[in-house]
Amino acid sequence: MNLAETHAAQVFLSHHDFVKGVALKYAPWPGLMDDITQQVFLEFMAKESKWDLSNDARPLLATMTRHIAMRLWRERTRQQPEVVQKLADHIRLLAEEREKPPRYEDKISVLRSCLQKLPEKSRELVELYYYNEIGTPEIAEQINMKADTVCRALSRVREKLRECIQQSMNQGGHAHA
Amino acid sequence: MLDSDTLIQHYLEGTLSDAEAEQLHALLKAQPELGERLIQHFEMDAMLRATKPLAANNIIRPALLPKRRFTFATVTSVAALAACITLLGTWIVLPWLKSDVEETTASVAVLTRGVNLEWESAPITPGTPLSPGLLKWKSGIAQIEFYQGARILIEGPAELQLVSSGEATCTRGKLSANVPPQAKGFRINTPKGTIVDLGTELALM
Repeated sequence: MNLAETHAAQVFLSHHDFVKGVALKYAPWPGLMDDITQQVFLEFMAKESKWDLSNDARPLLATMTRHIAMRLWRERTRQQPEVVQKLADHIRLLAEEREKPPRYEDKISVLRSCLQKLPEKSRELVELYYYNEIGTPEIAEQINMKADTVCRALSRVREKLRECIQQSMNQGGHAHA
Repeated sequence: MLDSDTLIQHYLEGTLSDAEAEQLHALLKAQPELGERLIQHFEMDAMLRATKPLAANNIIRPALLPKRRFTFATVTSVAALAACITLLGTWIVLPWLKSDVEETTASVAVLTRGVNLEWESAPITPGTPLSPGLLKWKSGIAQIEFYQGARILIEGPAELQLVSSGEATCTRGKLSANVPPQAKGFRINTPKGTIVDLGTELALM
């Protein structure tokens, strides 16, 4: 990799979370955000010689991400049953109606400190589902609970974390989950 | 009949059945506030996945065919090393860098194309992010894409005041705009009044 490519990669990496935030806005489908981010990176690097990287790259990355997100969205949802497609399109419209992309890059760093403040059982649930990638039916079996109960517990954990992030960003200080 | 939390979780896991999809869709239409909750859960779910500790067998798995000279993982490590070296030089120019960052974080649009543009102000090259302010050119055509998604073409002589990512004021020039659904509500102010897009193309002369 030459110097120009390295510089381009650095620029992209510095806006990695920003790209994810835009991807979330335009393609709210499970697992699609990472695919979109990957593809944006590949296409950004493929044309790195064309970009003027001396200025803010975010408008360019936002435009690229939006186009790629919509393309991958179409490809992914086309494979789904019609009833799921309709639901997905409804959710996508809801996400797009929000004025700005989520402040992903600001929130992600706060999230890590909020995770440390979770009660032990909640942390274990996060580890099982998000880090060990065990599905809710399997978790339910493992901890002897109903699957619906696990779903609701995960929902509560996410809400607590969201409140913690919000509190932390509003106050700029300590927050409790 | 499942509760909304369970339905949302099934959506996030990608395990929604057709019946559950229909149920969730009906709930979203009946309870608009549920939509906002779902999006919030979706964002939090994505962020939680991103906090997963990296392991050798868990580094990003490309979903598309990356037949390239480099992979994201390789570039990450090389770029990180380069970043450390770059930082040594960066701190010296930090005051200037900071002012550049503050200025560019206010950008609301980008000049995507220019044809025979003859600027009255300092020349701007395609790809340049644009902050709120006045653009003036004597001749030529500029294509500007707003951060909100709207795209306008203006033929000079033209004067365009960028107000925000969803609003501009055009006091001179021939303008046409393409406003996709996600940019609904885009506003163009003119001497003769304000046009608010409702999801179509529009033109001003």
